[in-house]
Amino acid sequence: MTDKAYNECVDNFADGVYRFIVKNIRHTEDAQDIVQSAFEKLWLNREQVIPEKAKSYLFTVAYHQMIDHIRKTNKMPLADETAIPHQQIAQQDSELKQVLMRAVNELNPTQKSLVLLKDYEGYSYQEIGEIMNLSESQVKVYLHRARLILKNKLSAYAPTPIHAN
Amino acid sequence: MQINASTYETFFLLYIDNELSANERLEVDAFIAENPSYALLMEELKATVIAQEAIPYAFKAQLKQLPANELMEMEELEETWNQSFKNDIAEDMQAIKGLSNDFKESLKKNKASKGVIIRPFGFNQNKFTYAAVAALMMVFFGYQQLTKSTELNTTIATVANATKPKASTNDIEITATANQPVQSKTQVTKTSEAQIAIAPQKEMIVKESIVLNESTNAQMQLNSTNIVADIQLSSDLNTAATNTSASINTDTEITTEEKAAISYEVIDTEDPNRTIYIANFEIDGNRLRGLKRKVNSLFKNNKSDRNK
Repeated sequence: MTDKAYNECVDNFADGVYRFIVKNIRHTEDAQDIVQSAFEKLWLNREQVIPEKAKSYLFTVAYHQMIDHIRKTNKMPLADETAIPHQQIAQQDSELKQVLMRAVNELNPTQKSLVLLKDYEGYSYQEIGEIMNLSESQVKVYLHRARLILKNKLSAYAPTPIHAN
Repeated sequence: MQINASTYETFFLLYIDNELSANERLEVDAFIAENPSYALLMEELKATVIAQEAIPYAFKAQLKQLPANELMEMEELEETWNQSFKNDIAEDMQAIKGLSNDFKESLKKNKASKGVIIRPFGFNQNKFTYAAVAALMMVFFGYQQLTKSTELNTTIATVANATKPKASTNDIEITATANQPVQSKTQVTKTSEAQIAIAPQKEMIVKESIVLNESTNAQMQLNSTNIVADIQLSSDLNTAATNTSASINTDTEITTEEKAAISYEVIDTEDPNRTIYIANFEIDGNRLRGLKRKVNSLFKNNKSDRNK
């Protein structure tokens, strides 16, 4: 990977990696640190990383660093402890989205990462499996369980089904 | 796999995850159209999909690496600066001619000392050092004292032996009266007029020699405080021998040398500038006195510790 390709990766993927991490750990400073570490690792290994695989590489590194971070802090933040300003969320999201995000935050870390990688980044089961060190069938099963959990929680919050989009 | 009443949920989940092909998606749409009761489930599952949300990362610029041309410019700048810095250092080094000889001389150590100067308090201030230095000094002083005592005893023996054989073997006429046998050291007297003939007075000479031997042996047993008196006695004996008419010149010479050897130097122990020489070592009197105090206090401390 050339320096130019690396800089393109920063432009194209930094937001996505940051969003994935900050949605998971809900702490902006820690998320920024993880993103920085991921890109630093990409820079150090730029000779070995193929540009086409750079995004997957970045998410893989960031995901594992996030898992390490969660293990170190030994707890996931509570749903109401989000570090993202509430005002910002209120402006951006509807009530249903807030309910959905609250439900997502109640998932276990693996399920949460699966949903975020699938919905935000649009990764296939196979790609998600590569990032999270899971088989494709595991991804499929875990993700479907997560969807059903979210559906049940959304049904409890909003009796009448409303499409989030 | 066909979509039916038992597999619809999997198909719906794959549908919302975009894991179905275009044809499969059409099949799902057709299934829902045929079975409107499943449309609600599909809507509920679609609601679980998180909408796209932009959360920008604010530090992209810090993550980016500088372009190669900018890096080159920085390297050139650094190299230029280094070269300039080196030139400045070289100029400074030339400007500094070095320290003056006087200043260098002032940095040198004193050449006055004859040997190694022991500075007890220049060492590490711990009790073991003091104890070691004190023990060393005690050994030196003890050795010196022992040497002095041996020299004095040797001197006394020499004087006594020198007097005795001269009187007996060389037929010297000793000035001792037959009627006044010598009973103690102080009673030894000299009489220059009484020259006794050798032949008739042999027995008396022998007696005199015995008395001298006895007195000399007594001298050997005196303690150090009586040494001066002994020396005086030997001096008297030598004087007596000198005053005899017999030829005892050799004895007189030995006695003078011994006298010179016995002379003592008066040391003012209160003199702060006193310098003590032990073997080849020169020790400052003040510091030695301080060392003594330290050693004393050390032993006192130990004693008080033991008492506690």
